[in-house]
Amino acid sequence: MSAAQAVSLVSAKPRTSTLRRREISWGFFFLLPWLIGFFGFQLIPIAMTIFLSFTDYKGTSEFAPGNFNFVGLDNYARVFSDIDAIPSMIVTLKFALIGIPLGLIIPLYFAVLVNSRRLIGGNLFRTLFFLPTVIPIVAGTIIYRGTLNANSGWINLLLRWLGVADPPRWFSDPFWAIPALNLLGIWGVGNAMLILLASLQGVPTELYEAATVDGANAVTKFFKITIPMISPVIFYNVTLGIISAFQYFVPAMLIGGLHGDPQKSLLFFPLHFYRQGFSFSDMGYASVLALILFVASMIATAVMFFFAQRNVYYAGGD
Amino acid sequence: MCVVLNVVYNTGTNSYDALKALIAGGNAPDIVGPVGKMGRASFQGSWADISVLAKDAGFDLTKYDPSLLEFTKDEGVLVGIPFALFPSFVYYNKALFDEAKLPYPPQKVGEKYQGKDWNLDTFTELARKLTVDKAGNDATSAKFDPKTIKQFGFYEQWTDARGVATFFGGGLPYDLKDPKTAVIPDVWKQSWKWYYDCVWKNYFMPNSDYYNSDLLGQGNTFGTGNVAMVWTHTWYTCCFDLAKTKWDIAVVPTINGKITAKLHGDTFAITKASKNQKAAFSVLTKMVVDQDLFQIYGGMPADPKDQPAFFAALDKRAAPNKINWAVAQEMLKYPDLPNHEAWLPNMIKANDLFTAFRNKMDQTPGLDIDAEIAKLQIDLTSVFKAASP
Repeated sequence: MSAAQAVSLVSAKPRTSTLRRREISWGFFFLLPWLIGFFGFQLIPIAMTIFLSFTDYKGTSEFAPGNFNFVGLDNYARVFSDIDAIPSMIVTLKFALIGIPLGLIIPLYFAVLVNSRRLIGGNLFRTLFFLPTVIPIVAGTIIYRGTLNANSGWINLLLRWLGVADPPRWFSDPFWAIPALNLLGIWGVGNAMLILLASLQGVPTELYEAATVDGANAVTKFFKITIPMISPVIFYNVTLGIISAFQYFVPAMLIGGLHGDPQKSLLFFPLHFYRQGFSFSDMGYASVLALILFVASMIATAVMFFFAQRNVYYAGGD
Repeated sequence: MCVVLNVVYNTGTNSYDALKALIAGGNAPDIVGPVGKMGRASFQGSWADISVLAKDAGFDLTKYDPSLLEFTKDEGVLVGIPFALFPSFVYYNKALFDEAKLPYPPQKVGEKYQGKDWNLDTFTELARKLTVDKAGNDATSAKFDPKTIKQFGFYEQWTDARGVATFFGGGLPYDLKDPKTAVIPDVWKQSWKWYYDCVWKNYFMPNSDYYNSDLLGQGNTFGTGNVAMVWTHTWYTCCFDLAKTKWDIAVVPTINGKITAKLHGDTFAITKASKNQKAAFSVLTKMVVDQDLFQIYGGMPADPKDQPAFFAALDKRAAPNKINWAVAQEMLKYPDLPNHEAWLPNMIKANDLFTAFRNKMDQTPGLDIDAEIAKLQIDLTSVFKAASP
C-alpha cells in the first residue's frame, strides 16, 4: 500500500457530524440524573464498603484519617469465629426455600384464576388480590403482627373457633416464626400476579386450539404450553425472589426486633449485618458481612442464569 | 456571647442511628441528651470530660451531691452535670383495686398491707388476686384459665434482664477482681427465677404474647388500664393519660429484708468532637436548671430545691388525681447499688445478651432457668473477654 492510498483511506473514515455530537450530548444530559444516582448512591458506597472491610472503623467517630486502622484480612477471618454468621445465613436460606416457591405458586395460581373466562368478576378479584401490595411494608407488618398475635390475633381466634386448642404461637415459637413471615410474604404477591397475568395473556391462543384438536386436557395444556410459554417471566420472578430473600430485613426487624426473636429464629443475615454495623458500631466487620451478602446474591443469580439456559423458552429466540 | 442553638430531634432507636450518621459525617452535635448510662455506652469514648470544662469556666461542681456526680461518671470520666433523676416505684391502678375490693398498696416504707409486712409474699399474693381471666376468676382460683387472661396483676415494664434482676437487689455480673469473668450475683438468680415463675406459673405477669397484644397496648401495659401495678420510673409519666387513669404510686416491697428501687439518671453530654465545647458548656449550665426541661423529660430535678415546682406541674397534668409524690422522694433513698445500668466490659454486647435473656424468659415456657443462667454467664464471659483492654 502506497502512502497516497493510506492517506485516502484515513480521510474516508466517517466523521461525527455536529448533529450526532449534539445528540450524544443530550443523551448524556438525560442520563445524568441516573449517573449521579448510580455513582453517589451505589458505586461509591460499594467502593466504600470494600474499603471499610479492611479497617477497624467504628461508627462512633468521624470517618477521617486517624480514626481507623487498616487491619488487613482480620475482618474476613472473623467470619469463621462469628457464632451468628452461619446460623443467620441458614435463617435466610430457610426463609428463601419456603418463600420463593410460595412467591411463585400463589401468584401464578391467582393469575390463572383471574385469567379464567369462567371467573365472574375477574376485575374485582384482580383488584382485591393486588390491593395488599399498595400497603406500605411497615404498616402492613405491624397490622400483620397483630393479626398473628397468639392471644388476640384473629387467625388464632379463628383456629380456636375451629377447635384447635393450642394454635401456633407464631412469633414466640422459633418453629413457627419463619413460616409466619412467609405467610406475610403472600400479602405482597399482587405485583408478581400482575406480571404473570400479562404473560399468560400473551400466550398465543392458536397453541391451545391446536392442543385441543390433538386431545390435550387442561392439565397437559398448562404444563406443556402455558408453563414453557411464560417461563421467561417465571425465571424473572424467581430471580427477583432470590435477591429479595437475601435482602429480607424490614419485616424481620419489626417483628423479631434487633435480636431476631424468638431465640434468633428471625436473625436474618441482613439483620445480623445491621446489628454489627449499627448496634455494635463495628463498621469494618459489618462491611465484610455486606460483601458476603452481595457475593451470595450474585452466585445465586448466576446459578439461576445457568439453569435458565436450558429451562427457559424464549419465543423467537434461537 | 451570642449562641444560636440548632435543635435536632430524634427519638427511640432512630436517635442512635441519626447521631452515628452526624458523628461519622463530621457534623457531631455539641450537646446530646437527655442521655442515660446505656445511651452513652453506645458511644463510648465520644464524650468530653465535663470536669475540665467546668474548671476552665469556673463552674462550681461541689454544690452537687458527690454520689450524684459519681453516678454521672462513665469509667471515671464526668460526662455531664447532674440533671434529672428518675426513681422507680409501683404505679397502681386504683380502679382495678376498687373493683377487686382490695386496699391500695402502702405509700410509706414499713407500712403494713392488710396487717402483713409489705414483702415479696404479700406482694405476690396481691398480684395474683389482681390477675383475672375472661370468666372473672382470679389467679388464686383453681378455675383460673391462664389462656384467657383479661387483666394482669403486675408487670416490670420496659426494662432488660438487669432491670428485672434489680427487683431483688443491685449487683454486678462480674468478678470484681477480674471484670472479664462473668459471675451472676445470687440475688439476680433469685430474681429471675421468681420473675419466670410469675410469668409461666403464677401468671400475674404477662408473657410476650400478652404484652404484644392489643389487650396490653403492645407493650405500654399500664396505659391500657388492664394491668393493676407496674414497676417503673418517673419518666413513665410521659406515656399514659395521667388525668383519665385513676392511679397513684406505692413503695416497692421489701425483698430479702431490703428495698431496692432502681434509679435512672439522665444528663446532657458534650461530644468530644464538638468544635464549640466552651460555648456548649455555657449552654449546658443553663439547660440543667431549666424547669421546662424537667417537665418535658419527666425527670425529677437533681437539686432538691427544684423538686416542689416539678411535682406541682405534674399534679396539674394528673388532676383530678392527687398523687403522693412523697413516695418518689422516699424511693430515692433506696437506689440500686451498684446501678443496673452500671458499666460492664464490652457494655453494648453485654446488654444485648441481657435483653435477649429477658426476651427468652418472656417467650419460652418450660425453660430450665438455672441452665439458662449458666449459659448466660458463659456467654457474658466470652463477651467480656472480647472487650478492648
